[in-house]
Amino acid sequence: MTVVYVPGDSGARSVGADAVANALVAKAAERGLDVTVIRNGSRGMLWLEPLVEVVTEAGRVGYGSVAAAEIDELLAAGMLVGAASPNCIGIVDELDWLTKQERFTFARVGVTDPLSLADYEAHGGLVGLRRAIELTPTEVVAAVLESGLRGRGGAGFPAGIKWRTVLETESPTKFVVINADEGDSGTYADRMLLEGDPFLLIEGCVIAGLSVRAEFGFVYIRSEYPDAIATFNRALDVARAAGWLGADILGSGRAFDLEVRVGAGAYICGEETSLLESIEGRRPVVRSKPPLPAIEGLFGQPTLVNNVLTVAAVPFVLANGAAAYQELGMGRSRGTQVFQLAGNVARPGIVELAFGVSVDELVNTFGGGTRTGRPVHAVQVGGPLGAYLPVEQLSLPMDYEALLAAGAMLGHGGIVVFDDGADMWAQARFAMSFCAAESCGKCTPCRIGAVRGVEVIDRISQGTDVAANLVLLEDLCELMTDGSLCALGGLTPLPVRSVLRHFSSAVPASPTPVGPSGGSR
Amino acid sequence: MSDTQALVRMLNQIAANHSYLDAAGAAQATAAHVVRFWTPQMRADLQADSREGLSPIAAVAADLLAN
Amino acid sequence: MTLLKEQDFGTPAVASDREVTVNIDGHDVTVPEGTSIMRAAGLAGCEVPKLCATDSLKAFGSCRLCVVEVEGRKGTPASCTTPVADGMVVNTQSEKVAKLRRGVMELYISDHPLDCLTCPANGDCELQDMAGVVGLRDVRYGYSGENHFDEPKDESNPYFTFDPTKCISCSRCVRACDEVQGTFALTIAGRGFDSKVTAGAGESFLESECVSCGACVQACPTSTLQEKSVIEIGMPRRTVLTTCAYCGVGCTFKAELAGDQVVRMVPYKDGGANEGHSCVKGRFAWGYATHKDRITTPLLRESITDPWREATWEEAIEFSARRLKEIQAKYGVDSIGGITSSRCTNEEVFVVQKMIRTAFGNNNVDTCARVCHSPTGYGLSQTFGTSAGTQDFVSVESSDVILLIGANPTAAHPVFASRMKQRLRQGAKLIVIDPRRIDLVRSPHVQASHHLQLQPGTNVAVVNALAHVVVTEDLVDHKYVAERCDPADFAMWAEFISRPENSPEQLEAATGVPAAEVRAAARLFATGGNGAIYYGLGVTEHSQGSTMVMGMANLAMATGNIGRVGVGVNPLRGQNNVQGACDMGSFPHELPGYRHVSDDAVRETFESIWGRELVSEPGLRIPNMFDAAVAGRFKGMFVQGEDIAQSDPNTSHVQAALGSLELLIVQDLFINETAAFAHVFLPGTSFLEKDGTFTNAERRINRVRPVMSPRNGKQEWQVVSELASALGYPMHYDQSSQIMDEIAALTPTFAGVSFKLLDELGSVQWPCNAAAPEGTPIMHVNKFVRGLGRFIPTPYVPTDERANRKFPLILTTGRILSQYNVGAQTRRTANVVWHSEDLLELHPHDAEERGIADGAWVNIASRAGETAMRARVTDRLPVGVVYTTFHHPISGANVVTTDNSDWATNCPEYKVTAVQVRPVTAPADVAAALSSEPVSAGIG
Repeated sequence: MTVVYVPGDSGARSVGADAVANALVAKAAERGLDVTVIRNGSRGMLWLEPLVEVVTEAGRVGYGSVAAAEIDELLAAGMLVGAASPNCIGIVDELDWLTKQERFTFARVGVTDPLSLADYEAHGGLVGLRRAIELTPTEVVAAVLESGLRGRGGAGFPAGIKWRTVLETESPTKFVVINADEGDSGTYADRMLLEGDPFLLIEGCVIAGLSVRAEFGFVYIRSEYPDAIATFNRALDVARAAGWLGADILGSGRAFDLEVRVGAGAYICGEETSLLESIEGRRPVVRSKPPLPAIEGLFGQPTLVNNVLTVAAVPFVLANGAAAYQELGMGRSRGTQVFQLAGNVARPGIVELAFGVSVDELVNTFGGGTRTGRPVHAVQVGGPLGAYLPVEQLSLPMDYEALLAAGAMLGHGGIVVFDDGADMWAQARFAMSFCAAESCGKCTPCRIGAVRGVEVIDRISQGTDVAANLVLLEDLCELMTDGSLCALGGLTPLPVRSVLRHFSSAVPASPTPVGPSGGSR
Repeated sequence: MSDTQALVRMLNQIAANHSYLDAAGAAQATAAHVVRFWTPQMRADLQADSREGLSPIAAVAADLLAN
Repeated sequence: MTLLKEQDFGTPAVASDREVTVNIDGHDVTVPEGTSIMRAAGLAGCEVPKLCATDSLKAFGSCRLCVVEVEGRKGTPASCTTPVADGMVVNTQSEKVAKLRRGVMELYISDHPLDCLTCPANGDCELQDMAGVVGLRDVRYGYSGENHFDEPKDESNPYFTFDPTKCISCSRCVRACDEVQGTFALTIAGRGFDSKVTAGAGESFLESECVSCGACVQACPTSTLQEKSVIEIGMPRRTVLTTCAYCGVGCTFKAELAGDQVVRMVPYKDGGANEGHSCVKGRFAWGYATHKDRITTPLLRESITDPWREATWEEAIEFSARRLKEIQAKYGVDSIGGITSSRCTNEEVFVVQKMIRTAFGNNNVDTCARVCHSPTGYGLSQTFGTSAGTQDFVSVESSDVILLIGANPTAAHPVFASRMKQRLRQGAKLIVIDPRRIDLVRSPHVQASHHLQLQPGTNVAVVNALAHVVVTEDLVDHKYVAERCDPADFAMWAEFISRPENSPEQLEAATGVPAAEVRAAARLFATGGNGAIYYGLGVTEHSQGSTMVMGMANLAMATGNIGRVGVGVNPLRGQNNVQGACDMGSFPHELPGYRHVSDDAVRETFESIWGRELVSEPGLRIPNMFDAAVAGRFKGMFVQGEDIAQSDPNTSHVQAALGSLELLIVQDLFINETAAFAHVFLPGTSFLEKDGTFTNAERRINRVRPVMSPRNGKQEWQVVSELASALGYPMHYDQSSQIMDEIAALTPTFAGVSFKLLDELGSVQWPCNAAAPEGTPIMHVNKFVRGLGRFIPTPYVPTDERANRKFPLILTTGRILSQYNVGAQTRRTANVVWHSEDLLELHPHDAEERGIADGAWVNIASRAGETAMRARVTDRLPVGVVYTTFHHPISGANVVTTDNSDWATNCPEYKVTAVQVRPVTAPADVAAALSSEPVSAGIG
């Protein structure tokens, strides 16, 4: 009996993984071959999907970019014993792409059956939770603090401080809320985790709940991720049935349960206070702070809001100790980040590494440069509100502070690659039009500013009063940065200014490069 | 409803609402209420009427008012 | 002559035990912890530019105009959402924030029509002000970008216009509707640049849930929401502070005028009762004061079948005085009397009762409180020693459990209801006792914990059942009772209430309320914290109205809920001055200040100042006046501002009584149902012309100031003085303040009141005297006015009015928001757009049994009479109960009500009438039912 893994991840499915799995079952039966197909998560090597892995004595042998039509032929060629073929990439676990990573959070993604509790525990699952149950809430929070874990959503706020604030705020009712709205273009790590290792997130949530004394949590998943929603809900059922979610966690006498809430197509719900408004059934406009959600959050109660990756990192910290996490990284960016390569890149996918790796290494060594083969021209790091890095800045290390100092942003770890065919001025316009499309509308600089931003950029494109409009654009950028209510309006100028500063040749009829202190005020 | 019929009804109603007292107390309280709130003409009309239709307590109250 | 504009501090005041000191632009200011920087700056005299902030609403943080710099902190936080910290140093005027503010204004104006000079808000536009304040000089974006200039106007509401082209998306209107009014009728639809203020689910304002309170209009900083009167007339130029003439909340208004013409009425932020809020009636429905139906010349006629003829004041006074004297000569001194108005000022009411006691020479004076809250007067004076509510309105902000009985405040006391809803949204619990599912049972963000949906007429049974639970489950506050109440009375009451016949289980069949619900509600009230009772005419207008008041007082005392903030027994008094009318001695058995006429010492004080011997026996109450009239012994009447022919029960009896009078004098604004029986019509003044005081349900005495001179040429108190003089009792005052001075001299609870004091303090709650020079917000604080609180047993005596085979349904009555009482005022305003007719509400089961469809004409008949109106089928009522309002005379609701009344006060039992309802199919039936066409039909 041969076990074959065919990913059930929606990314893989979008390139035919289901047909591949069906063909495999059908053709194997025709040939009288005893095959069990397991739908795993994706290994995060997206250029190889659908990636079929055959379990052999030597290890799991991978066949990349398999088409359903090829299955019969591959079977004939001995795929089930790991025979060589043009698709064959050898033992998957020995690939450089994977061996060079430090997959703490993504350890099981693509490896296990996402809904098999046996697989989960065999691969180290629930060790962290069992440890957390033995500790006091204060001790768990201390471990998170010590690990140096920072919010992976983009704000980079020390997670331990947030956890401590919620723990120390007295209230009979508290909540844990997981931000799985992952709206940044070019990001997909949360989705892959929800689909590929949902138990990890659940374990992290239970630990969070027990340590801040919340008995209930919500996982807010964007509506554009139907597979993730379905898979995660099934994982919740499995976890509850197994007794480590619900009224009595692993016999500890303590309770914590989770529920999925689905978004409805608003990028702004990735902002934590809008997200809370959405769960409360209101229009998701941004709330002013203070009060902080940690003190007065969902339904007015102390609420821990964290990104998927943040909470998913916690079981590792509890299982292996804070030091094991903290010793990796650079500066104040500790532990690993799950980077996502996307855009015009030869090898798109998940790269989990300690902070400190350079953009260049990610884009060129892991990513293999552009897919088109043309020179890399710009790399946008951190989502649509991130700066465009020119080639000269690719040596920057992936570190919150270093990127900030360079006028860029690490964000959720998304990396989008552009070749020299990209129209950077159009990209600058895109930043403003994206903001206009997704603005909640509450504050003036974003609601009206983004619309005017597009108009000013268009006037510059048409050659109308270019110098004056460039000054106006810079003033608008300053206004949106300093005056907006939240990071949507506040960060929209980041990509725009990076184009003005680093891609001045793309700016129509620009007089001289507008530097950080250039331009009249 | 004629004038005296109305008075009889009112007196019975006042008496019924003092049923938590003993008979003597209720009659006294009823009479006191009438003195406080009824015009002399109304009290005279009550006396001029027969005691017909009055509840037992009300009848005692009417007697008390006669003095 | 100036327009009064209160300073707007941007965010609401915050209460805190701790204070912090901050430095703003070099000025030190000390404020409660939690205050916003914006508010602190305003208090320090350094106002920060703002648009989306206003101090009646929570901070929002949307316009980004109020940014400031804080030493030691990065960035430019919004001062509205940032609380001060001790030692904070703030700069509100740096170059950086100045540039940001200009940038924000530049964005606003790039999407705003540039018609300032012809815009209705010209002169009262915060956007205009801020553009000026920040020094905006040009809009570099130009005006040809995306904008909202093509949005259509919504002019559906009769009083204000919604013009989205002027909207700056500040959400102040939405927030006002949520936080202040509590109706949640508005929202923002769409997002981003497409954000649009929307009523309901995209309906017009008129079709939505909007109740037209105008809070959004007041909150709107631009012309987006604008009063139609301002659009038509222009900006007002001067302000007169006065008091609303509708309900017992007594809102203070700034009458904003152009000359003598009212342009708009704006609620006053420092109004003690309303604090800047109002309802549709007070804010918008004042047009009746200048309606064409106003009578401004005296009218006379020999017989009521003659047409009216105009007369001079001298003629009218002489005629009235002569005829009154003739009647007294023929039928005796007690054959005449009068009714004071609960809508007129204290001063006007005082002189009427004075005239009756001196010039008429008897105590035949009564007032409309007879038919509404007289049981309150009886019940509370018996148990506590005062005839008035115990708290102020603000007290509800500290209540934990609110017990609402027989009242519908969202309809009848809307501004107080909004305050109550604020407290409920914060988490206070609500118990509603009402046969009908009133709005408060379940409305946006408010849900009653218990709705005891009882059968009409069983109030006392329910309150006894509640008290039974409190006593038998040992939830009594024994410490309180021992300290504050008479022990013998308590013992007797406790024994009485513990009897099994007072248990929820035994009373369930009669009341229709499940025993478990009663027990749960009682436990909640007794143990839930500060318990406050609010009640209305659903308590008093019953044959055991006074008993019920005492029952509630017993419950409040037993649970220790009298004598501090957050608790109390609170009658929601209906009329703007019914409290005052009662205070002024409009009762046949009491002199001003609630002292019995038989009290020699008190009577002598009055006799010495008034110079006349006064009668020591009680006089006639209104129902007794009617009985005596029909019996031929009461022949002359002076009716001040009350339409008894429409508002009193058993219309045929009232008509018979009025028809038998030899002289009826009516002093009022319009010809009404009562005037149909009058021989003399003396034109009165509206509140816009009066100069005096009203006293609201909080015992709060508010000033009523004239905005125009009397259209009839005389103040009402002048007319009464002249009549009294003509009757042989010289009465003269130069101004109404002198009348108040006389009241103060004669009434210990008013001893400190004067117009001067009211000008200084704004308003004052009586008692106001040497012991309490600034008035008394909460009563019975250390002890009850009568000393020890008195428990009085309240046996349940079911009403005689039962459903039977002939009349199987029970009719109960109430009121709605947009119309007021008999509709004399509101029917003469645009409010008719909301409630152009009274409807009979009935349950679908009862409707189906009778073949009645929604909107169909029905006949309603009782043993007293019958009338017709259209039906509304609704499940708000229990099966077997029907309901209507009485705002339109043509409905004749009181044709159907009976002469049953409260045993102690004769307050009519409006709330329980056995009726039958049947569909009316042929027009002839309708005509027959409406055979006595009322005089004022068709107006409005």
